[in-house]
Amino acid sequence: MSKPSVVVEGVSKKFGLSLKSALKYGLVDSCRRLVGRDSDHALRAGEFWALNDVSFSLEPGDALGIMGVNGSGKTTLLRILNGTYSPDMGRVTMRGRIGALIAAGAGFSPMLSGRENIYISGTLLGMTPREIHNKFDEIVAFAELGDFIDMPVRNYSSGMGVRLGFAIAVIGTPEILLVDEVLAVGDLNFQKKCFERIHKLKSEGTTILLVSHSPGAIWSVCDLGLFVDHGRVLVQGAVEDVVRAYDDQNSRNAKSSEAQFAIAVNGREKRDEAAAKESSDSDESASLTSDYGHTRGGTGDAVCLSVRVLSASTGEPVESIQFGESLHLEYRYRVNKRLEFPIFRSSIDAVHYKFVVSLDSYEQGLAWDSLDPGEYVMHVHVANPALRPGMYRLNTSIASRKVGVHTFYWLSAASFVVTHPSDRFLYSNDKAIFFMPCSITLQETR
Amino acid sequence: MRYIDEDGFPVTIYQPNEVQGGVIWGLRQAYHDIVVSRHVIARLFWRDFVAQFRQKILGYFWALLSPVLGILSFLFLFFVGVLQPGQGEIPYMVYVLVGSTIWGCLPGAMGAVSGGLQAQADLIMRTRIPKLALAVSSLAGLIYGILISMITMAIVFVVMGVTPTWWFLAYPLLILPMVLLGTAVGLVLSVLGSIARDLTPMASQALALVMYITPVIYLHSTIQNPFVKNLIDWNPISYLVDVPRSLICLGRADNVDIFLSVSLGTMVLVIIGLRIFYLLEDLVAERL
Repeated sequence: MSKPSVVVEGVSKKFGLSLKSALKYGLVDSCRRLVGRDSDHALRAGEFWALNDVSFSLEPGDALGIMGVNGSGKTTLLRILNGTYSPDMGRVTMRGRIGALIAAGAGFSPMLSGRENIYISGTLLGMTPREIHNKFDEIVAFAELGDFIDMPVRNYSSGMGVRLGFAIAVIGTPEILLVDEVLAVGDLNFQKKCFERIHKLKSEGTTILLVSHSPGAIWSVCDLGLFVDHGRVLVQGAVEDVVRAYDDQNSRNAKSSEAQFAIAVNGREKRDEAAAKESSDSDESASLTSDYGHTRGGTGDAVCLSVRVLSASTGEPVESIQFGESLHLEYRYRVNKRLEFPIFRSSIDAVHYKFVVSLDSYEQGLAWDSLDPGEYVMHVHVANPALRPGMYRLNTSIASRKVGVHTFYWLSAASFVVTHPSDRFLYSNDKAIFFMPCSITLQETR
Repeated sequence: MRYIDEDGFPVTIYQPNEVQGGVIWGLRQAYHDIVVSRHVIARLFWRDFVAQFRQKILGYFWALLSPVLGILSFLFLFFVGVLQPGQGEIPYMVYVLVGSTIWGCLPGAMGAVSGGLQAQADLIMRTRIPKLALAVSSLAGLIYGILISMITMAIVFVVMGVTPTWWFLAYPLLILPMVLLGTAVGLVLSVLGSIARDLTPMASQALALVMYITPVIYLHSTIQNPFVKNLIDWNPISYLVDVPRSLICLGRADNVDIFLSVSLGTMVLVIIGLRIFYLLEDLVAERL
């Protein structure tokens, strides 16, 4: 059995939240070390764990995709593996020559030619002049620069620059390759070539650690995954599981940040409504704005008091449902004045598109002649919503068949997340909304 | 920590405060870091040197032209009588030129090493080059600077009709203690100055004050105040400037024994500087 090429044991790293605390603790730690004492490993006021007790092990030929939202700690982890940062706790053991593809073109001098920069950048990446000389033609061919190799780099297009940087970095043959978000360079053909090169290294036994926000890039290179959130490893294992966890977390974050944004933006609006409600002694019509352009509005004849997404099994309110689960919605209404021919309507917004679904009581075959004043609860059950994993917003309104405007409207009345299923890998397009099961056949025609 | 395992694979281990070696360890590690990074240091120097002369009509001639123009302006001031020379064995013009050139090695080395890490912050974050190599890479430029200053000094010697002694050829060796002193201070500042950004400017200001108690542009014999005289005598840098200058211009010097002792002290300071550098270098990257 081969020895592991990367072993990470309980690695933690902390940073100061502000420049002031970084300065203060930097000086304190410096003084402690200069008098022979260790740094303080406990978390101090004004510090946070960028990485917290991270452990994993990789064999030669393994490819690990490290995923996480911005600020999760994945780049910090890569920098520790690259030796840029020193861990505050734990230990990292790397067995083999390490190649880092952290930024294509690091150290390029724009005034010098591509040829000269190959020697500089190659040296900075740890190659000897002889190695660079031997691989020079291969680098130029890989970068597809041809005669442009003697042109100053400042006259290169951005694509030419990153192609050259990438070519220098991947032509070496490291035993461990650290890659940070630099696979998406150049045109499609060049990107394809980059992936092929990475796969070739992998098949030759190079251990690859890839940090990316792109599930597609991770999935196409890696068979193992690590999902990091707030410095902690939340999911570790098959790359599909990690991509699912990452995508679900993104959706939850989108839901939570949208809620915060809505509170911030609509705070005044809601305070105004509350003030109006107080002054009007619970008169709904006085507290609502009677024009469009707000989050809530209407005539006040009827209002929707709440919208909740309920669990199909327990009936309790939930924040998310799993892909394939049925969608249960509960609406509570107060009718202040008799409604003639009421219609209850909801629409669903996806992250990138608005009004992708409309749920309309009349379209669903329900028609009431009138609704007397009082309070009502309405349940909507969608057996198979077919919504792909992601975050969705629910807008709701009350209309009348005989009146061309809304009696009541409420944008972003509720939101929910559809999480990934465990039995199917939905990775292909993060902007797609619906999953439509279909039968696919493929036949050779000649 | 790095070592080669029984299968011939390089093994790298990162752990907190891994640099626990003593001063001798620091010296060996510095040697190792510089040897493994020699190509990087050479390439970085070559990159910066070559790039500064591109797209210029005079090209590489600028390397010589700038200091020569500086000397010409100095000569002009001297010949029109703006500069009032003191009395001494060495013509004042030569005295000041050689003294200020030797002195310049101290802030030059200190500035190059102390600013090395911040100047190469991009490479620290993206490559695995030892930080010491990046800190001292700018010193390579100092070697070229020494060569240029020898040429400019030679020009002034010719213009002034002064024949330098054979010690002139030992100029790089004679100013080595100044370079070592600047490197030692620069090593400490390169790490501490990255944590507290005002330490390096403070040190530069302090060095400017030290110049006033060093006989760089004035003659020791012209100082009347006994307190200042004492300060100059107790200032070890005085000997690092005065002895090489006397040897180059006169072929003899007083206080050579003190010069040698202070030179030995600068070597010890470099070892201490390296120790401090390795103790604190891992605190730098996250603060760049």
